[in-house]
Amino acid sequence: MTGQPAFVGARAAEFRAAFDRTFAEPIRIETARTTDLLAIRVAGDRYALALAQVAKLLGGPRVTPVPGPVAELVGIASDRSVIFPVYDLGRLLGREASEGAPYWIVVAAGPVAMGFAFDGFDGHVRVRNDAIVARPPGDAGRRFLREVVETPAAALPLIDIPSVIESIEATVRGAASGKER
Amino acid sequence: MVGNWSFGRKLGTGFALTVFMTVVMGVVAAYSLQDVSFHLDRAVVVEAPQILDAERLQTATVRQAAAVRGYLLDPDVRYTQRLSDARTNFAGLIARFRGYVRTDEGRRQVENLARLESDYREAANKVIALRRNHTEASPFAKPFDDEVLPKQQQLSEAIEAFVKREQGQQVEATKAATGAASSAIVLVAAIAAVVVVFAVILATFLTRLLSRQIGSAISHVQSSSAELQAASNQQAGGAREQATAMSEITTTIGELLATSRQIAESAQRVAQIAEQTAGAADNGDGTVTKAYESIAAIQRQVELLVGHMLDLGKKSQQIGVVLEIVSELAEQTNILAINATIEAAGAGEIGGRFAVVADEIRKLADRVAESTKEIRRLIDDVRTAVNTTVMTTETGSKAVEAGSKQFAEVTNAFKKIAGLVSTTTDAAREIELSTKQQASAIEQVNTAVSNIAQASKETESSSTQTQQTASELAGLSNALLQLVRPQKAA
Repeated sequence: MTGQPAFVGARAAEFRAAFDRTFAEPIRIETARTTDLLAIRVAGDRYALALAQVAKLLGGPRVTPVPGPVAELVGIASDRSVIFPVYDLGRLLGREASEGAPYWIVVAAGPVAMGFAFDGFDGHVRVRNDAIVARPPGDAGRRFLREVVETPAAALPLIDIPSVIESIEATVRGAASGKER
Repeated sequence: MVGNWSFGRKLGTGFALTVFMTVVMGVVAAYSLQDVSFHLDRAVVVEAPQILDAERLQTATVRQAAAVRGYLLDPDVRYTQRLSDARTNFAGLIARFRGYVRTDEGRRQVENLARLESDYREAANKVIALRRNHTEASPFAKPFDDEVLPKQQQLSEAIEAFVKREQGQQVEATKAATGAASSAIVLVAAIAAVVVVFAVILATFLTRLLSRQIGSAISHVQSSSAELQAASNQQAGGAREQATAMSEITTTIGELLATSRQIAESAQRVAQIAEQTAGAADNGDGTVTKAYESIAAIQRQVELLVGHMLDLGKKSQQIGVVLEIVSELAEQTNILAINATIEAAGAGEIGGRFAVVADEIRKLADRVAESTKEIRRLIDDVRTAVNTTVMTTETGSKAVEAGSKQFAEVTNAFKKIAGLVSTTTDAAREIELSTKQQASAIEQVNTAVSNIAQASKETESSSTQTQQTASELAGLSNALLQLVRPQKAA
């Protein structure tokens, strides 16, 4: 018990020193050799999202269920007066639906705002570019998981959000053409 | 019926009959002796004095005649005096005879003698008177010869006849005594013969009867002697076995005595230890009382500790609530930082510097989140520890409460133990005393058993002697049986 205050004080001092160091050291932008990722959990498994493919991260937004042509559609949500559809990322990846409503939503970057809900958010991860490798051919789930990110903790499948969007849009288009006919 | 009589009764009866016959014989002999004595008394005591008195009459007559003759020769007063004495003597004898005689013939002869003496006296007096008056002999010689001498002769003849009569009576009395003695001899001899015959018959009867019974008894004695010999053998064997068993019992009793002494010593040590235990129990009672008070204080402190721990738990929950807020703020900050990074990336090179700041903010938010997680873990640990402590403390409190109750029970138990130890002390002392008494009793038993063993040895030796005596008794009974039944023994 006597070591706990010293431990906490050391951690506080470390935090304070790091915070001060950010203002003391010159700004070094090393975006050319690194890639920013978001570590998430879907149906109990860990995945990674490329931060460049994300427009916004939302925690605990209200999702209003609405019917739609895509089965993975959860509902619609709004952020700063922008309304966008929200799809269940787990179901899109072919996993079982979560018992409760997903808490986290990422809004995909692009011209059309589209949200993907998932179970957990483990944080921001910055890896070197050579840590991202392509998955071997013929690997299962290669449709949306084309690359793997080697992190110090584990190897995380990297979800390719544009391909997911393309798949949704293809499904929507197919449904719309079916109605027209 | 006689066969059922005892020896003493039979012998007594035979002896009584013999004595009775002897008494009868004695009575008859006594009666015969009395008869003989009567006749002898008559011959000696009655007739002999009468004969003597009759002879004295004759002597008195002779003295009268001598005195008369002397006076005639010498008329001296001396002769008259003698004559007077002789006459007085004669008169006395006549008076005595009057008392003697019982028959008429006797009384007639006595009276005849008295009359003849009186006639002689008158004649003599006349002659004496003549002599007194005359000096010459012629005047009185003639009267003397004519009157005095014939009367003197008549008197002498009468006295002589009387004497013969008396002598005849004496002879008759003597004969009667002799006859009575002969009759008595015959009677006594006859009775003696009867007694002898009766005694012989009785002796034969008793001999046969007693021989038969004694023989039977001797046979019984023989068989009993044999049985006694066998019993003596068995008794000797039993006595040897008993002596051996008594020796073993003596050894066992010795061991028992040693054990009793050890028990007494152990009981004494137990009593001492029990006394020490009683003292320790008293001290323990005081210690338990103090411990009970300490436990009560501990219980109060534990209750305070539980209260503080519950407060600590509540504070931890409040910290958790605050921490949730901090965590949520960190999460929101992280989200904002991430979104700022995204926005900065969208701003191109202009947003590069902002991206650095947003990244630092994100790192700081990550660190806050990590620290929040650590704090949550710490708080969870604290809450877990508090809960565990509370539960443990409550358990401890319950344990202390139970311990308090148990201490109360322990206190009561200590008091009971003290009482029981006191009782144990008394019991140990009683055991010690009883064991000492038991040891004393065992010593007495040992002495008694030793005496019994000695008695067994003596019994063995006496059994041997009894066996020898039984053998001798068997030999004696054989010899006695030969004496009683020689033909059978042969």
